[in-house]
Amino acid sequence: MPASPDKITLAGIQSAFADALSGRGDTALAPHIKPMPGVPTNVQLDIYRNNVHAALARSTEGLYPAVAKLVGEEFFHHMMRDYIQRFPPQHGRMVDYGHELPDFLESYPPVANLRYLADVARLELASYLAYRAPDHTPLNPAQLAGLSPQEVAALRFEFVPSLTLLASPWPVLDIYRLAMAPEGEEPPAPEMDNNPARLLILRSQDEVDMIPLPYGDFSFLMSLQTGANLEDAAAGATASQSDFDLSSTLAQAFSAGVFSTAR
Amino acid sequence: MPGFQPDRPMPDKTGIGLKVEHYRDVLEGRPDLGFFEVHPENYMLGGGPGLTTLEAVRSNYPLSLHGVGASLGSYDPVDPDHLTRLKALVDRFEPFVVSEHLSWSRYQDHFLADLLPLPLTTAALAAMTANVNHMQEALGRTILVENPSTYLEFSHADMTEPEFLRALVKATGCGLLLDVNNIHVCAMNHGFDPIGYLDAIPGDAVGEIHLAGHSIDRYGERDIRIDTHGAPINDDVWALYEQAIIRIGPKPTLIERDDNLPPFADLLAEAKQAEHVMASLAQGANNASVAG
Repeated sequence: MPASPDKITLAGIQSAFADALSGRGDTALAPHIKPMPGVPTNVQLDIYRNNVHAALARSTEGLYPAVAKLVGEEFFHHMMRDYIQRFPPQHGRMVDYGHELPDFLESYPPVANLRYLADVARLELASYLAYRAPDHTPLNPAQLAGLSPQEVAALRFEFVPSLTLLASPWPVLDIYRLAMAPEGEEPPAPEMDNNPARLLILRSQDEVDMIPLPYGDFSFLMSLQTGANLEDAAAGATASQSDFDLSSTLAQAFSAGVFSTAR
Repeated sequence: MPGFQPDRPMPDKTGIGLKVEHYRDVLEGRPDLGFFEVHPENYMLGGGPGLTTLEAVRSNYPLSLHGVGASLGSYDPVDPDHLTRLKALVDRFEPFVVSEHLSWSRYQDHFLADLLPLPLTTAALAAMTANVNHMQEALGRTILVENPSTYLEFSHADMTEPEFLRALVKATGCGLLLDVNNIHVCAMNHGFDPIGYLDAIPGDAVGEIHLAGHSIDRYGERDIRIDTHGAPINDDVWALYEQAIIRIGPKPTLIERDDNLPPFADLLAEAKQAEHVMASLAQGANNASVAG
C-alpha cells in the first residue's frame, strides 16, 4: 500500500502547529487539518492564535495594570503582539511571563515619548515579585545587642527576598498612583521635571509597601545591598546628604523589615 | 476493566473554581460546597499571600489541582522542572484529585499558551501514555485527564476521542475528567452526537465533571462554539449534564468560570443547580429500581 500523503509524525504536527501560532505560516500544518464545512483552515487556526494571544496579553496586563492604563488597553494588547514575538514563552507558568516588559518598553519606538513608562513597569514588576517572594522573617535588631562598636561598624547585611530598591529620574510612584486611582478620585498630576523617585519596595505581612526614601537613605541601602559594611555605607550616605542620620535610618529600616541577616 | 479508583475520598458535593476575586466570599462566607479547584501553575510561587490564602481555603475544604501547563500530549517528555513544582504543591496541599488535559502546549522550547488539539493517532496515544505514566510515577498517584474543546481535527486521526480516552485509561490506569461543556462545544463544531460520545467513553473511569459556559462566534453561514469559561452554563450543557449523570451516576462536579467573573453567589447558584440535578436523578433511579 502506498504511503498516505497524510502520514506525518506527531513531532511534525507539533512543529508545524508551533510555526502556525508563531507567525511562521500555516503551509506545513494546513494539509493535515480535516476540512470543516464552511470554515477555512486559517479561520480555525485564528481561534488558537487568538486564544494564545489573549492568554499572554491578559496575564501580562494583570502584572502591569498601571502601564496598561497609561497606554490604554487596546494599545497594550496591540503592543503585546510585538512583545510576544520578541519574548515567546518557554514554559507554562504564566506567573513568570512578561518580566522583560520594562526593558522592552525602554526601546519600543511607539512609546518613546512616554519616557517614564519603563520605570513605571519596573515599579509594577518589583511589586509583583515582592508579593510572591519567599516568606522570610526580618532580622530582629535585638540580635545585634551586645556587639562592640567596632563589630557594629563592620556588619554586612543581607536583605529580605521581596526587596527592591528602585531609582528613577521620574516620579514613578506618583504616576503609578495616578494611573491606579479610581475614576474621579485621581490625585493631582505630579511635577514631572526634577522630581526623581527613590523607592524601597518590599512585602511586610500580606501587603507590598512602596516607600519613598531621602537620597542619603537610598544610597545607604544601595551600598549595603552591594556588600559595603555599615561604616562605609554610612560614610557614603553622609557624603551625599549632609544631614543623613544613621540611627534613625537604621531604626526605620529595621521597622520596615529590610534586613534578613547580618554578619 | 476496573473503574477508576480514587486515591483519596471524593467529595459528594459540587465545587467551584477558586478565583482571587472571591477569596473573601470563600474565607468569610464559608459557602456550603464540596470542594474548590485551582490551576497549580498559579501557585508555583516562592511564597506570599497567594499560598497562605490557599492554605486557609484548604483547611476548610477538599482541594482539586487542575493543571493546564504539563502538556501531556507533547512529543517531548514532561518538563522535569514543572513536575518538581507540581509535586511540591501536591505534597503541601494534599489535593483529593490532580488532573490535566488531553492536549499539548509545548514543542521543544516553544510554549504555546493554549490547550492544543492532539492528532488522535496511535503515535499520539504512545506519547500521551508515556507522559501520563511519567507524571503518575512522579506524583505517586493517579491523575484524571480531561477532554478539551477543539476547533479543528486532523485528517490522519485513526481513533475517535472516546476510543483514544478508553485506550489511555487502559494503558495508564488514569481516570477521566469529563468536561460536559467541551463535549457540547466539540459536538457542535465537528458534527458528532454528544449522547453517542457519552455512551462511548468508559463511564466508570470518570472521577470528576466540569461544567462551564461558552460563546458562539458567527463565521459566514455557520456558528463556531468557543470554550471561554466566560458565560453562565447554558441549557444545552445542563441537558447534556443530566444525560451524563444518568449514565455514570453522581460525580464531584465543578463550576468553571475564569472570565466575565460574576458575583460569587451566581456561581454558588450554578453549583446548587448541579447538586439538584444529581439528587433528583438519584431519586429517580431509586424510584425506578423500587418500581422495577
